[in-house]
Amino acid sequence: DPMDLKDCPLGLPVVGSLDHARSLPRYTALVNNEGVSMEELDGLQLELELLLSSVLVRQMAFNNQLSIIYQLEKGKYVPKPAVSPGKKMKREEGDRPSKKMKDSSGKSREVLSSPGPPPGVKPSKVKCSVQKYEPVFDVPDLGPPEQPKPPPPKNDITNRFWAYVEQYCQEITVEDIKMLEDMINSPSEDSDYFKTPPLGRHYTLRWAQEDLQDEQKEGMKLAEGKKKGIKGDPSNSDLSDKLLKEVDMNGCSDDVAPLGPLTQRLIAGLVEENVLVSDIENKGVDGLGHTRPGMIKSLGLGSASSLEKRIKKELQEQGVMETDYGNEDDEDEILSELRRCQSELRAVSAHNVTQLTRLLNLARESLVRHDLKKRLRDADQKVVEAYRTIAAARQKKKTPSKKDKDIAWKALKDREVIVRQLDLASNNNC
Amino acid sequence: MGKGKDKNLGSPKRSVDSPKSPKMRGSESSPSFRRDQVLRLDPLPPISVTPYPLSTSTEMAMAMSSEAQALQDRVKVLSDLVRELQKARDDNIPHMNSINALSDKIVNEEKLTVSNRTKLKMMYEKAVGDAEKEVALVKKALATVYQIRNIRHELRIQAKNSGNKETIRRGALMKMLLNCAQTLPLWIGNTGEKPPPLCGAVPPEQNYVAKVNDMVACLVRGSEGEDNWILAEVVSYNTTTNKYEVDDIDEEQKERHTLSRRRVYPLPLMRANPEVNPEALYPKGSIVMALYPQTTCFYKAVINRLPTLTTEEYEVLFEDPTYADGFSPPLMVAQRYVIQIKEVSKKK
Repeated sequence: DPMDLKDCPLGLPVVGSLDHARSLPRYTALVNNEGVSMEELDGLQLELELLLSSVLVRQMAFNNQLSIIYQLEKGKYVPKPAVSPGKKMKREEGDRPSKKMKDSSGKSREVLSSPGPPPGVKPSKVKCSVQKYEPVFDVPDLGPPEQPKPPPPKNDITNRFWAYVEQYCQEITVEDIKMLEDMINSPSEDSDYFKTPPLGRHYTLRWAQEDLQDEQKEGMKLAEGKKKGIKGDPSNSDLSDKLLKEVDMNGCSDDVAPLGPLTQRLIAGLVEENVLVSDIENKGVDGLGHTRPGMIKSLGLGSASSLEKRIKKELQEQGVMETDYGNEDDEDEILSELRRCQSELRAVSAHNVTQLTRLLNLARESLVRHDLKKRLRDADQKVVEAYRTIAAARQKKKTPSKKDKDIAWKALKDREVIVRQLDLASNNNC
Repeated sequence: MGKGKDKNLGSPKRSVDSPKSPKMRGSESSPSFRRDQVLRLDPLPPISVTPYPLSTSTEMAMAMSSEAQALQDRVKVLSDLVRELQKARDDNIPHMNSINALSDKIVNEEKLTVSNRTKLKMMYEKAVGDAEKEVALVKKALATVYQIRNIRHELRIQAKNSGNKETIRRGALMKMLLNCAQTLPLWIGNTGEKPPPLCGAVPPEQNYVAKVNDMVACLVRGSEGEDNWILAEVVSYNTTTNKYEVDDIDEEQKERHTLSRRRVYPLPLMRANPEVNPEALYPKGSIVMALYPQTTCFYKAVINRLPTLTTEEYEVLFEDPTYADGFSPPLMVAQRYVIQIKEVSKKK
């Protein structure tokens, strides 16, 4: 049974002999009996090697195709190999050959049948040279991880150590202080987190509306497919709202919907049991709804939850029930969780602020010390210079001049002052 | 304005105007089927070899030698071999054309029938045999080239020893190094054979000892105490002490070093063919030691591009702290002068 070409794993390679007239001039000269000079011998060797390589490539291609055919004959399934430039000419660096592939296969017929150089050659060569320099940017990623150990840079390990330690030991700068201040002052954005968002629409209602809208959209799509000309209903959402309200009404109809627990207890207390039909234990207040439909609704009490709240409030005002401020909130698990998280956030922020302030103070102090150290360095310089002048003078067997001596003494005294200041500053902090 | 219907409608495009020419016929592949392109369409890049620097006096001495006649004989043999090779290649072309024609037919039919598959199989098998014959002939031609080169090498040594002692100047040394790298023999194995040690990137065997006159890279201590990997030639190997005696290739140094085996690494003896044995090349991105161009020292480098043809070199980036990104711009180094990075523990 014939196999479809698109399932065929064979490459059906286009084969041929290398055009030596174009590629191998020294070889061609030899073929044409023009002999070879000794200087050309090396070039001839390289040409022969290239020729050999092309034949080997061709041979490999045939062998590959043959092995696929043998497998097909045995009835084995051979997957179609991925088309990749590497497979085509057994080259590893796909950049250049893939461009050549595109050029050549794009030009198809004309290229193959004409002996002259195809128009694609020059551009592809230019592309090659451009390609060569692109990968430079790839490599630095490889470089740093392979940091050197042996020659030529000697003792690089110590440099690396100091570079690493530097981030911990370096001087604090003004920018660092500014950063700390910013960090302390910034968390005003958290104020949003502390607000308790109002209760939204209950999710059942929202989902019901969304489901209804989706179904309407589906319906509209089908309708539009069949009959063009049906306008999209702009009052879509209104329609769904109305539907839902009806559902709502039906679902929450006070005739049969359960009333809140407080309400139930109150009514149970107020209404004598004998009035209710005997088999009503489980139905409770609902029985009323059954016998007199519409009665409760007509009382205009509103929904069950709001009724519950009003009753509770009334009872608390009358002093019948204890006012439990926390009660209501506790019933809402989500709200309590929210409150808990907020308090945690507050605590953490406060802690952060204290720590940052502490850091800031330390940084400010160390900045002061940094200045002192700088001045100390300068003073040291002066002392060293003074020493040098005196030493030079002594070398020349001259007693140093009074001026030099004065400079030296002054430098020394200044330095001592700074050192004392520095000590004081350090002692304050340690 | 319509020219009417597209006249190709209903039939695949055919190369209606191609007569039976010995050149390759067009491959009208249906857009969905991509065929492998094994035949190289563009000409190979031109080969330029750095000539081996010979002074005129040496040349003359060589020409006048008694061996000169042997050279001419070899050249004649080479010439005959090449012609025989070309004839074999010409003979194989019609068969390759018929393979292409059958492939075209299959592509046009858009399916592979069992009979076509069998036909293809037989054609491929014949083609493999043809290719083997070509390979054998090319190998013979190459062998003759090597013979000629060996004779010339002998002549050169004779000329040198007979009083033509000139120290090689640096410029000539560099040319010699380049020529040597370019003409290093290419390893050619039989189908499926693995490249041997010291072919391209294949490492030497564990207990390999470099032979006399082989080129090696060795780690020597300079005058200021710094270690460098330099290019050198083996003078001798002492089996009792297990140490090499090497000569710095730069004769100006005139230094003979005695080094332990750990400090000597042999250079590859053969080039690897990137088209057939890519596994014998250093992969892109690998760290190697490479000879810095125009010097005789090896430095740490990273492979940026591999050679794609036997005549091509590696493109490497040398580690260089003087550049912003830590690496030199890409430089070309021949296969012969790229070796494995060797960490030598110092100071035993």
